Amino acid sequence: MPRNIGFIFCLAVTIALMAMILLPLIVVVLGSCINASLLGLSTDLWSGSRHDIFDFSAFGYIFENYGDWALFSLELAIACVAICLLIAVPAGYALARHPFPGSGLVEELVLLPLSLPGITLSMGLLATYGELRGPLLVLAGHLLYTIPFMLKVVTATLRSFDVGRLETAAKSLGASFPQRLFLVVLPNLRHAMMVGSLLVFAVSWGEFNVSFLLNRGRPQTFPAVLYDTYTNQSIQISSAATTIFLAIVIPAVIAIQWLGGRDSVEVEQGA
Amino acid sequence: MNILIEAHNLRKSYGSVTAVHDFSHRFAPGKITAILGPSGSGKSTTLAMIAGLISPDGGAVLLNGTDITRLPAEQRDFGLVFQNYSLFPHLSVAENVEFGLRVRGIGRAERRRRAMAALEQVHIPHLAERRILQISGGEQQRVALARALAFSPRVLLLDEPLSALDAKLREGLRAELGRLLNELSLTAIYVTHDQVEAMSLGHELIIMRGGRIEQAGTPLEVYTRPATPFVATFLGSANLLEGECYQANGQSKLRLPFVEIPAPAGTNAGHCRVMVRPEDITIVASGGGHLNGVVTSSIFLGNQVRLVLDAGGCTMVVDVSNESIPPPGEVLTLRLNETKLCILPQGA
Repeated sequence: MPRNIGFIFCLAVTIALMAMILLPLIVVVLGSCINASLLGLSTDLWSGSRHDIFDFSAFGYIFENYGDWALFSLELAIACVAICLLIAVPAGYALARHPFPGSGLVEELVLLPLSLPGITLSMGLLATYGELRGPLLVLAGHLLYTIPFMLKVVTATLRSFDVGRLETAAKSLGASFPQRLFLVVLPNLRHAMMVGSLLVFAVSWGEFNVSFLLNRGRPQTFPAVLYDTYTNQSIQISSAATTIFLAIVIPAVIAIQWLGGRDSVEVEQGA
Repeated sequence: MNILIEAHNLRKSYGSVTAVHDFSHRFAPGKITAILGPSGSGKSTTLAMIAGLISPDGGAVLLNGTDITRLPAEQRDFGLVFQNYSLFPHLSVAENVEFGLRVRGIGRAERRRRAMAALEQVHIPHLAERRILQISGGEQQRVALARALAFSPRVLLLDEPLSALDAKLREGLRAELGRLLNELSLTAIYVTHDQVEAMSLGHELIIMRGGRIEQAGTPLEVYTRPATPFVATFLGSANLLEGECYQANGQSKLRLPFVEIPAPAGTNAGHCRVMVRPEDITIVASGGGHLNGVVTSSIFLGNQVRLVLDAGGCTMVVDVSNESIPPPGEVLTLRLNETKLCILPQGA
């Protein structure tokens, strides 16, 4: 049956692709917790029995030496989420509800940082706001990368269900502007804001170039831990750092997929 | 609760296009006024100005004599029903109906009681807990109506509320809507492009065209005494004939292309246009009619047959019973019901 052959071929390609993506991750995760000495590799951390298969001491090492880096990265990502919700949601609402001549250009300009190499953006920020170099400028750099995601998700959602129509209905029922905002607009943006927040969090958590170039001294952001361990430490320690990195970002990405799927189903049903 | 709404010279332009020219009307209190017109005639813009959703470029809206032109829509207490329902997808049916009460600060128990009463009025209390996306188009329109009625609006405005529904559903809901609005004795303005809807629901009819009122009156007046050829042909079918009125031997006569008959009382001398409805022409035995016509086509409409005839170069449309359908080419003798002839006002 040609149809079955086609199906088997597609399945094989999918499995091959999945394997290509997942295998390195599996190797990294195993590499972080398998007793390195059993593999004939040297380890300066090992404190247990030489014959145990699992060895989690690399995680302890990371938390001990880079805990403040992880915390800084988390704080940065959470600050990005909060600021994006405060800036990009109202801006997206304004752009979608009250377009003005040139508003399309504004939307495109906001996306511009995504197409610039991190070094270009960093040099621009350093040349302009060099005296602010440090956590504050890192936050500014992260915002330039994350605001476009929140803005895009919000404007697309507002346009998909024609929020103007619902606001007119609410107005006719006697709702004031704050009531329309809190009882109609924001509840209908709930999913978009959740997806946008997770996207912002994931992008900020994973950002390296801008953070590395704009920060001064320590702590650095968590991706810099990966850089530091891969260049200076054993493979087990760098694998442990990578595993911690993935443990934060993968649930966020899965949640984005799940919420995004739910969102599109609701929009389709509502159309 | 008879609320009087008046519009004085309402005007609205979009760029160089004037959507509504000096719309003035006193809407009958406690009655349904239907605004009827083709698309682009300015009827929905007029309604939006009365609702406060669009601010007019000129003119005024009066509510019981008070100028409310600058009053925001949310402070007018007007119920609105939209063509596209505009229900809130994140709320249940009952929560949608409660919305107008919620924003007025009415407590949970009281607003649930009133929402349920409104849902009873539209016969869907059993759908109260459903999500909006789980109910049909007809049910959604009932929810929209209940939502607009639940907060006891001063005036109900309906913008093509049935036009998104299929024909059968529309007919059923139209009858129910008419019954409900008559029971409530609300001042209601009903915008539609559907003649049957306008005539069956409206106590009063306003016909609009190109942003202006062509004619206003009761449906019977407007149908039988149209003020312009547009109204005559827009509201049902009409035969428009060129005629000439003159005095002969002390009698007023009307000369039509094929016959001369006594002119209706009050007809001025001179050229005129005469309207005769297809149902006001009957087929009679030869010799007893006003004109002969050759059948050129016939359309079976179920309860009757619409014939198109050629009467000496003049096309006539005639509605006859469905008992026998004359074949094309047959010559028929026709008689006009002289009492139903309508002379259109001169200059129309």
